[in-house]
Formats: sequence, structure tokens, C-alpha cells
Amino acid sequence: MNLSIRKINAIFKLKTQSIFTNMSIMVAPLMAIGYVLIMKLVMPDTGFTGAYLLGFGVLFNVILGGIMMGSYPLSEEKEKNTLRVLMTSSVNGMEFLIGSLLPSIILIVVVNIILVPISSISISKISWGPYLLFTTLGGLISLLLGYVIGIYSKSQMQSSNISMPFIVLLTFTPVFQAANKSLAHIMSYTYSGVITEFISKMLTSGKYNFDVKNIVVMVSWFIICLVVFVYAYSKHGLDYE
Amino acid sequence: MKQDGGQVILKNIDLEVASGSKIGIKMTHKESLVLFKLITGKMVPTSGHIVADNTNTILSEIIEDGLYDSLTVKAYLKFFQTIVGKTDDLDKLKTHFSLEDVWKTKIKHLTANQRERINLFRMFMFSPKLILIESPLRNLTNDGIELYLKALDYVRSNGITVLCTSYYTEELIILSDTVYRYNQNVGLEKTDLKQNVDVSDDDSEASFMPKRVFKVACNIADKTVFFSPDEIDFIESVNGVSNIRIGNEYFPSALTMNDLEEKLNHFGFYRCHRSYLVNLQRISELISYSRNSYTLILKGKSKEKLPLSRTRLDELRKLIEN
Repeated sequence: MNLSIRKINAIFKLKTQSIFTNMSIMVAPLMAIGYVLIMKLVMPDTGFTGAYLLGFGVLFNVILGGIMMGSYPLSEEKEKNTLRVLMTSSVNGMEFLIGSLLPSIILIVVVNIILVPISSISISKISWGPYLLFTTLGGLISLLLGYVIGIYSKSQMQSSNISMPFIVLLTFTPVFQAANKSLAHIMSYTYSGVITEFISKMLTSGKYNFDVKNIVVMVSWFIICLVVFVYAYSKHGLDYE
Repeated sequence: MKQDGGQVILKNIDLEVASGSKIGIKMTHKESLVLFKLITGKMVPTSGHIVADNTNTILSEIIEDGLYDSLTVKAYLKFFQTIVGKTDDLDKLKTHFSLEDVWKTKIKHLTANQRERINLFRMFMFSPKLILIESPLRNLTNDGIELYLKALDYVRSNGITVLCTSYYTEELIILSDTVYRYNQNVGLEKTDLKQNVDVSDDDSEASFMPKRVFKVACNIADKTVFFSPDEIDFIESVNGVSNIRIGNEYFPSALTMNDLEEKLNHFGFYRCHRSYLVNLQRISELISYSRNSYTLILKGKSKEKLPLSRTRLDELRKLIEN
């Protein structure tokens, strides 16, 4: 399959504009920033507040944002019948996906960086390499999950309905982890659980040591989501009917 | 032939689309979708074959195709210009598509007339050899049709062949000079068309009158369409106007019912009722709902019902059964 940089660039610009003007997508990064800002004013500073706020903010951005940015634009294109026009205009599926993925992942990374200062966490306390690696990989997993949902959805409403259980389960991981130990153990095998644990350990111990289990969990989620995406894409293309 | 899910969608189609031809095909939306996919190589026929120089030079537009509503006309076309990788001056081209006054307007604020011309402009930028368009005039106003035809002429003048499909013959007559009707049993049937021309000074041909040929003429827009008697299901008189019924469409004729009866009775037509002239070959059933009322049911999905005068029952029976 030939990939054209010119076409990817054109789709990148189109998708950047469509993401920034679609409030149902922008609600996720804005909610992540807004949640952290509001909770910072409401919650008493216990010394762990920054880690809690950053963890929640990152999950909102990576899970809610990632899944929505993956599924909504694709299902919107199908709902408004613009995808067929694009696909019959010499654009192939992979060019469309790469052009759509780039603005989403850039937005996720930028918001993850912005969340650090607004959580009142000193920049020096962050292990930037692992932080960006874990959160960006988490964003990619969510986007792949979003694309799979987008492939099987015909409209934004359907995409929203399918996304909801994944979003609730993964975004509120810290809440489930606090509920009981068994649930906390199960959630530690989710990529949202790994991100939560990573942020917590990094900010409490001052430095993060790579944990083999966490890396295996993250990589496994990425591979599984990639395989599911490749299967859905190769079987149905972008337009599942 | 193309079958989909055990159902035959297209059958008996033998069509050559020559460069520069203006072909219109009357068919349903589903049939159009399948035909477009077959021609563009997105679908393989169940039997038969399609020969195309290069399917990459064929573009298609179906009635559901949408536009990016949040973009302006300029931004939308610039986007596709980047996709196609050309550097044509869009500002010069926009005049041919009558889009100057809405050039910086968001597409969501545009009318169906303007949106249809944007679609045509987008496809034109790709310089395809063949464009397949489904029912482009369906929601257009008279002014919109005029501007669309002007843009279409410009597209065709650049060596691009345009094939249109529609469920309505009137639309195809306006868009094309060769119109076919698709019928699953017989494939493509050609409809005879002739452009209206001023014949006032053309007396030399007046004496030429071939025998045993008759076609019913109907004026639609600036064209006269000729229908063979065997295409006509029946003729209905409504408010003094004779309406030719073909398939699900009506075409008004300038002739009176009496004139039509006189000319068509040699072709198997019968005046079954004061307001109806029926093609006897299309009758499938004769039903009597009461002692004094009879109804003719015609062939086809719609199973049209025509009244039959009681006094004409015996005459009709003789005509059919002898």
C-alpha cells in the first residue's frame, strides 16, 4: 500500500480543525484540565493531592480523550457520508488513519504535559521519559480501541454507546482500586491501572524504577488492541455495513 | 450480471460508454450503487465482464454523498486540491461553477443547488476520464438546474465524460442525449430523444411520411421524447390532458384521447373506459368486484387497476381471446 505524505498532511490539517471545532471531542481534554483546576481548589493539600489530581487528569485525557478522538471522527465521517467521498478520491484507509491519528496523539501529549504544572507538581519531580512513554502509549491504546469502535459504528450516537462501558471502566480505575483489594488487583492488569500506579509511585518515591509487570501489561494491551484493530480493518475496512 | 445476497440486482446490461458521450440510465438507487461499484472496480460482477482503461480515472457521486459542513467552500476545495496534488487556480475555475458569491461561506449555510455544484467541482479537479453521477438534479430549483447544467457543460468541454443515473426519466432527458431505461428482463432499453428544433423553414422534408410507424411524442423541458407504443402501460385522461404512463411515471401528451385511440388501436391499445386507453399486452387479470363493475389489473409491481366499462367487456374479451 502506497502512502502519500501530501495526502496524510492534508488529512492531518482537516482533522486538526475538525477536532478543535468538535466540542463533543474537545470535552475530554478540557474536562481533564477543568477537573484538575477545580479539584485543586476544593481538595485540601495532603501531600498526595498532586499525584491524585495528575493521575485523574491523565486518565481523563488518555482514556476518555483517546477513545473519543479515535471513534467519534470516524463514525462522524460515516454518519455524514463524507468517508465514501474521501475514499473514492484516491485516499486509502491507512493515509486516512495516520492523518487522523497524528493530531489526536499530539493533543493528548500536549495536555498530559500541561496537566503537570496545573496539578501544582514541580516539573523536576516528573521522570519525563517514562511519564511521556507510559501516557503516550496509553493514548495510542485508547485511540486504537476508539478506531475499532469507529469501524463497527455507523453513527456518533452508536459509537458513544459502545464506548461508554470502556470509558467508565478505564477512566475510573482509581475509584475501583479504592473499593477493595481484589478489584484493585484486577485493575492493575489494565493499562489505566498501570498509568495510575506509575504516576503514584513516581510522585511518592521521587523516582520511578521500571516495573517489568507494568511494562508487560502496557505492551500486551498495545499488541492486543493493534491485532484487534488490524483484524477489524482488514475484514471490514473503515466502512463496516 | 450481479447478484447480491441471492438477489439479482443487475442483469442483461450491455453498454459501451464512449468518450464524450452523454448517457443517462433510468434505474433505482440500489441498481445505481451496484453499477457504480462495478464500473469503478470496487465490486466484481457475478458473471460477464467490465472493460475499463483505468478505474483510477473514474469517479462517482451517489445521492448520499456529504460535504464537510464546517469548512468554507474555498477550504473544502483546497483540501481536495491538496489531495489530488494539483496547483490549478481555483479562483479562476470557481466562475465556471457559479460559486463566486459563496466562496468564503461555510458549506452548512449553502443550498442544495450550491452543494451539488461543489460536488461537481471537486470531481472536476481530479481530471477523471469518466464521472458517474446519481440523480444530481433531484432537489434542485429551476435556477439551480440551469447553473448546474452550465457547470456540467464546462466539465464535459474539458474532455470528461459524464454518465448519469436517476429514477426519473425527465431528469435524464435534461442531463443526457442518450437515455436508457434499465429493466431486469430486457436489460437496457434505449429511449428515442430528439432536440426541439425550429422546423418552420424545413418544408422540403414535409412530404416524407413513412407508413406503419407511430411514436407518441411528449414534450419535456426543451426536448421531445418519443415513446414506442409497446413501452406504454396505459394512457389516462386527467382534466382533458392525456397522460402517458410508463413504469411509475406520467408524461403529458399534446394529443387528445380520441386521437391517441385512433392512432394506437393498430398497436394493440383499447379504450377500456372513457378516461383510459390500455395496452392490451400489459393486462394480467380481469376482476369483477360486483355484478356491474369490472377492473383490469396490469402487469408489474404496482399492479395498476383500470376500470372497464361493462358495455365493453365482451368486445375486450374478443380482442384478447381471438
